[in-house]
Amino acid sequence: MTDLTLTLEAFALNARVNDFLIGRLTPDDLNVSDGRGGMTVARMLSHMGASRGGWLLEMAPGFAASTLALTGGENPWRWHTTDPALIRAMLRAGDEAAIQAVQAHAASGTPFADPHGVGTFHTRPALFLTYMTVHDAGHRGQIVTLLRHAGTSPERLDDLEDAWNIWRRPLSPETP
Amino acid sequence: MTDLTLLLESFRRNARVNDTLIAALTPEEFALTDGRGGWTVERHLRHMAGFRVGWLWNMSRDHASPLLNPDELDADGDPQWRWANAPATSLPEALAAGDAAALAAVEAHRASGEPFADPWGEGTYQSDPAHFLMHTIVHDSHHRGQVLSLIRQGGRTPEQMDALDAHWAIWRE
Repeated sequence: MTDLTLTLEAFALNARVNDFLIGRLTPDDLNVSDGRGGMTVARMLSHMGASRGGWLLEMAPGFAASTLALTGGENPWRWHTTDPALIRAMLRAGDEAAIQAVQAHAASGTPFADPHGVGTFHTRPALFLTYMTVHDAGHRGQIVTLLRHAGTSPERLDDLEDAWNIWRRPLSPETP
Repeated sequence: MTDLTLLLESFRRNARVNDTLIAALTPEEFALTDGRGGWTVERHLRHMAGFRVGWLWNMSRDHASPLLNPDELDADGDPQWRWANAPATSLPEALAAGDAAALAAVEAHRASGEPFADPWGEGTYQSDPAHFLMHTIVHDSHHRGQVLSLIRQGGRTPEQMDALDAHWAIWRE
């Protein structure tokens, strides 16, 4: 079976980076958008959290229950909130469910379902965790662009850069 | 030792995603900025490629050398990155060379058991050099996200942005 050690470690680091970012955003930051119809910061973070359950609903619906409990049954792809505590809860629930689904499918050798033929990590279920890590990073980059565009000070943007320390000190609990 | 199969597969896919994004950009889009002092699209892409050589220079200098021109020195007197003044069209080549050097460094340090150097105490993947590859993937994605925001602000339509989103399928194969 594929060794998941590094992928699981990276996924845990990604969760710490998300927490780091959310902990530094103000209510005003959460409402920033590009003014051209793009998602607000809060909506991007909501989308990041709910996307775990959104994909699980497609590929392994038995693991989407915790996400649906938080959306109140609403389609995860439409769910959003401006409450940082709820966003954190959604990310946590989604992360746990994603790990459980990947471990179950990796152990059984059963690929994820792909009812709409969009590609669901059929070569290796564990790539779902990498996908979520990379997907989050893309949206975090967009959030930085939105904050800069909204006039966030260079000092605050520099503070956000400290999140990169987490990736360089993978097993060190004292990094931010 | 931890097996790298999954990580190496992800690293290869990341390279394909970078190539796909760069190929989709128009010549004009390389110059886009947010108009507020942020980087141009081209600078984001150069920074992604430069990330590899920059960290290798600190952590495993021998493995940075294929990426450097010893006959040309930068302002600090260090050898210049081979692509420092190259046109944007050479960025896929710069990224590919950086990927190869990063892989070689990770494989060599894992094989020898010698951790990466950390001359500035910044934390250089002491638990496993392979985390450098994951950091590179995440760092690239962070900057690709910014590039996508810039070209959206630069006037790409929602339909054109949706078409670009098709690159995510590379990760789902």
